Amino acid sequence: MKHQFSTSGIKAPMISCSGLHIGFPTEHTANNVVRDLSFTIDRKEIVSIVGESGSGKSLTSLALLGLLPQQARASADCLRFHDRDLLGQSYRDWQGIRGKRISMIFQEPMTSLNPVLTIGRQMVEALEWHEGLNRKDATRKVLDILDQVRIPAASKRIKQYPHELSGGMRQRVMIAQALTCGPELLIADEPTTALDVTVQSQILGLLEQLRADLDMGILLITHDMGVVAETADKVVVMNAGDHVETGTVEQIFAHPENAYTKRLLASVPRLGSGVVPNSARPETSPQKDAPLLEVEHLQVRFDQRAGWGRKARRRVHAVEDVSFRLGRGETLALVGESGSGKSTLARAILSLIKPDGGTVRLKGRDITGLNARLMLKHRRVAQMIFQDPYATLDPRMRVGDQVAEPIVLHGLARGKAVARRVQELFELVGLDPAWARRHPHEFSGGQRQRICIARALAVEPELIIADEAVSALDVTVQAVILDLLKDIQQKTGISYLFITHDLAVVEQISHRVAVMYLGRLVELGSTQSVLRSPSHRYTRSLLQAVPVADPTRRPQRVQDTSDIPSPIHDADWQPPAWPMRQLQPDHWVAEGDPLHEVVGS
Amino acid sequence: MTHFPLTSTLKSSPGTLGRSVLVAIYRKPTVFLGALLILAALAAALFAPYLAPYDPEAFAVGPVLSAPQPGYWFGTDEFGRDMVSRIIWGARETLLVGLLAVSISLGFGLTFGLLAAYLGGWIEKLFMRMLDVLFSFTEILIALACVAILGPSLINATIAVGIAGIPVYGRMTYSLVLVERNKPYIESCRAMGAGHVRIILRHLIPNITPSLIVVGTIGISTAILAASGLSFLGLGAQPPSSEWGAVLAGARDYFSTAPWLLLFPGLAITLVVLGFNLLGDGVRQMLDPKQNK
Repeated sequence: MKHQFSTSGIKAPMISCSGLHIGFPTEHTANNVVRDLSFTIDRKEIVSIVGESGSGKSLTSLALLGLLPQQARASADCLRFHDRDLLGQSYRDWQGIRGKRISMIFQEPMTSLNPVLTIGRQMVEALEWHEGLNRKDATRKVLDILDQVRIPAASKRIKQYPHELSGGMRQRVMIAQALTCGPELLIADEPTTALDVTVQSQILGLLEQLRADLDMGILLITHDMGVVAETADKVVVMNAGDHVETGTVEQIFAHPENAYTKRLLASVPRLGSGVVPNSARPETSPQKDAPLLEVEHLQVRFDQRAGWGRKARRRVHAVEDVSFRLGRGETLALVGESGSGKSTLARAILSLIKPDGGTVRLKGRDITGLNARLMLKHRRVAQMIFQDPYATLDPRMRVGDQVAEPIVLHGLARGKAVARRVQELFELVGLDPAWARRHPHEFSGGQRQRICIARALAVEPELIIADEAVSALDVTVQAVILDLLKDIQQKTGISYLFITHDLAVVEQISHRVAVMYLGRLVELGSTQSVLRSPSHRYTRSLLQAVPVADPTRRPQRVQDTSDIPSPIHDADWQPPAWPMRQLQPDHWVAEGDPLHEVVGS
Repeated sequence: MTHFPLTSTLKSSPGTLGRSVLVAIYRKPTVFLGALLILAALAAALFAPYLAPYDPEAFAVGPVLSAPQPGYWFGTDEFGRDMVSRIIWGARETLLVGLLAVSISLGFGLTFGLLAAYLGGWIEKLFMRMLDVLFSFTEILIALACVAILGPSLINATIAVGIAGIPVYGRMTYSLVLVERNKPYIESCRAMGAGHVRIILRHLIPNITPSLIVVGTIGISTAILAASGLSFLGLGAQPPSSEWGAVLAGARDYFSTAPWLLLFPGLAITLVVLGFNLLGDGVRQMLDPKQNK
């Protein structure tokens, strides 16, 4: 190990950990899920533990807070916070450390805040309780801290409830809560994973700033190499419980020593670096003439009803005047942040939601407003894959039966032929057909997504709409699934409408890109031209926010606290028309920016 | 309709169910105890003529109001009837009451709750308000009203208890379906082209069954107790029936002089109720694919 511990003359690091083992012992084995982990954290240092799911990174952070599950056993040669041995602390000792000197923020800010108390109430009460302040002083301190995490109009915010804040604002509140007692170490467990890229970039900038302002160490736990490259000073790489490699961020990215680190870095999609890993974008050449899918002026609105007579007071303009075409064998990526209406658009195309206007033509036939029986025929043409493969599989049905279901449903095979077809499909997506008898919980995330893909392919569709199909997967798995999808496209000439928030994935898989913002298409064009020369203001800010997995290219962050404007308007609001201007033969951009409209209205 | 999910789950795993039962029993001795209690009650019900030493309704087979003693292990009642025989024969009617009442409650409750939650709209409003009206009266009041209309008899008391239980299962199913039907796997079925009937029968019902089984087995116990209550009030099983509630009712006058007349039927009810609860928990675990590897 390359670490020095408190040898004479050198100031001891804030956290020193060496030979840490964490296990869930049974009668026979130790079952260690973290093995021989060593690292140190100093003040003002951002140390990142990076690894895929199941690597033991979160357990490590819990050990630093004495919050390991009861069945877990931890042992270490040394696990110290300054000069205190963290493994030997009593419950009472922990009260003086946890939340005061070491505090933590979590991935999902909504579930970590009490939904029935206002922001101010939760924070003020904590201060009254912990520090014995009176209400007035506590409130003043809370306002100070909210200012520190750059929450605009803090005095207004403290009267709001968690659900009234956006995801980014909630994460700021969480950070503010963690900072209340002035901790020396902040543990951030995937703090930006649930956030959009533009907001993620804001939060990461905030963490960096706070480290400098408050003289605080940060332990950043993440799976995202881009986030690591942009923020960390030191990196600890973990794989399935093993400590793989430690080094400064420059070392790790420039000269990774371990094979796993190299593989991890290789599978990170690098946007705009010109190097597309694994293989180039699909070689299939989409046919331009007869488009498979034509969407014209599609519109989906949701009314928010309230008061007497349930009159529509406000309206969510989820999808507004969207038009595009998708050719055979083509992949169109639909990019946008949460709330941009991309999932609503996908559901409207498949008639899972009734559109309020416009037409959807599949193979030249208008399928809007068809009844269930007629629609069934068209469902064979277009299938869907969803984000969370576990949630989209029936937990109580064997996966073979689930893949067989669409075959039976559409009458494509009978009796023994069904089983044969299921076997073929399993082989096509690279699964052992013998696993057909298992239940969904017996598979890993990547395998489950393969099952979902097999199920979608069962009816030999011509179009697959993939809604964030790889965003819940680890990067190495993600790369494999993307390759599989490309492979299937080459074999079958299928078209994909690929919905994602991850621009790096877009570059890997799609021929064309459509950027969505507040329910509108703001830019549409070939992947090359949109990513290389983005023309809309929003596309540019989106591209800038994407973390780059290269520590030498750290962005200059501008402190920005703006939220994405809301697509909710008064019921009588008329959306202005936005003509698309053609820049190049295959590149359109919207003439207008909702930001100006919202500010204007 | 109510038994469909169970059979479909069983059918899909031929040969493994027996093993998973054994595994569940091996893992949890409480399940084994539950199974044992129910088996004992079933055996008593099925083989009553062979097991019971005397005719349960025959007078003066022993001394009047005798305390438990060799020959009359549970004592005798005011007519000299043997309590062992009465309790063995009573298992028949008591078990029938529990199973039938729960079937009625579950059948109607499941249908109403599922359709209300799945279809929504005016059907939801209509069904749920109907259930609310039923819910706003206490169960025993509804049962009393039903018995008043149908006339006192064991079967009518059972139907009454069954009707009184509908809102419980209806509400329960309603909330379970509301949660399940918004899960992505149901949406993916719709995207696949599955119709309502298929989604309900193949996906929704199997996924809500485990919770319903737990509630149902506890329901068997409450149904037995409720029917016993009606019998106790003289509205259910009529003398000389040896249904346990009726036996309890008949013994209330001898509370201080012959407590064994209350003790043994009470104990029998308790044990059967306990058995169903323990077994229900075991069945729920067996139906969970995560439990049997």
